[in-house]
Amino acid sequence: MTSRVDIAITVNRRLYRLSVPPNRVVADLLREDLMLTGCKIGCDQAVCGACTVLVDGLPATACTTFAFELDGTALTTIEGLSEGGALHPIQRAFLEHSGFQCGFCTPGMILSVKALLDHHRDPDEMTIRQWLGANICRCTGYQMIVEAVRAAAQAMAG
Amino acid sequence: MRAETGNGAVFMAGGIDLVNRMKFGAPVAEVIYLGGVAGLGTIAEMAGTLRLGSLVTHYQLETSGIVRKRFPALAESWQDVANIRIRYKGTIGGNVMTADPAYDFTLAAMATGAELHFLGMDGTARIVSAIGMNGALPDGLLTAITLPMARRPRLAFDRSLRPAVTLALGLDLDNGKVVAGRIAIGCAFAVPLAATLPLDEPLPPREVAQRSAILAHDVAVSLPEPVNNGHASAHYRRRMIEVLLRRNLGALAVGLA
Repeated sequence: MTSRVDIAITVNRRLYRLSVPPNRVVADLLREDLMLTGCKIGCDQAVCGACTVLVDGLPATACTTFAFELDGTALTTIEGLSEGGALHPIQRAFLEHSGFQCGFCTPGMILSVKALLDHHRDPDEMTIRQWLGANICRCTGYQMIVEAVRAAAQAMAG
Repeated sequence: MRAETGNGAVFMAGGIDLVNRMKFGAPVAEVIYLGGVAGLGTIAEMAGTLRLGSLVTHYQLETSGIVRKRFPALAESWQDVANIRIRYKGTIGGNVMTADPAYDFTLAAMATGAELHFLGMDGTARIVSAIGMNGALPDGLLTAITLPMARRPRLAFDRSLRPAVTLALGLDLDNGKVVAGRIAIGCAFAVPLAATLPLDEPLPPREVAQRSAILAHDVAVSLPEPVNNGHASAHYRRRMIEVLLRRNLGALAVGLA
């Protein structure tokens, strides 16, 4: 197998030129090479959604995506969502509506919601629940997360 | 490239299953990434068929205007496959080639009477009928899946009993009569399994609906022994195949009458 692959990726608006092993997954690249530990590894099998990041604005599973696949793309992690020290409206809504308890699923959950609200400005509850079927939370029972998503949608619209 | 690198090399489309398999120790010497191969990700009507490139994602299948027009039940059903992350990245070709009995696209290919187009290691093209495949995948690169449109196949999908049983059903119409039916069963056997509806002659849809219980029973008893595991017993699975087929056959035929 080829020993290294050269890639250029933009992570949270900053360009990186990296040489990575071909079997390096994005979650390990973020956590171990770039120290962006907001990307959590839960199931490590593309199921739980804790490792969700945005690739060119679309939700992707960092634990089952090879780093070389992202050559030329723009990546957003939870660390890149806030700007100028101010929380993103989705982060604020999760905080105000107690949309998390232990917080392990929260970075992936918030990035999934970011992609949802970028695609649907005013999603109904079924759309929210269907979309968040990709992210597992074992603490909250989802009701407060759904309320946070609705509040975030209103905040982002107005 | 695959011919040069040998058996340790694998094709990678969306890669979700491949990465998981590698984490569990699957011996992979070389990965041949197909992501940049032009032409494998397109959907087009061609010579009386709907041609789906093997790199078409589940999300493309769900949202494509052509698929919605020609196979509306397929597009509608695909909104519920996996989750949005998987649908953005996972491809129908990878879904077929993984040969996991719980995966859905092989069932869709079987129910529509699709053909699978392979490019062999020696460069020759080979076409395989999905319904005759039953787990035996040819060696080579899957390039496209073509769904026939001539007989206006009508489709039904039922994933309500996943992971015990999933079922897809395709009925061909000609001159207002049902001339053929294909059943594809997932989760219940070691590989996705196909069967044909035992019709002696073309029947009006209403008559198919009236005979749905008998037809479903005949199909269920003709199948090999389903798997017996923690999700469900073999007996339960066979019974549920019959139930799901009766319900879907009846509903689909009534809708055509």
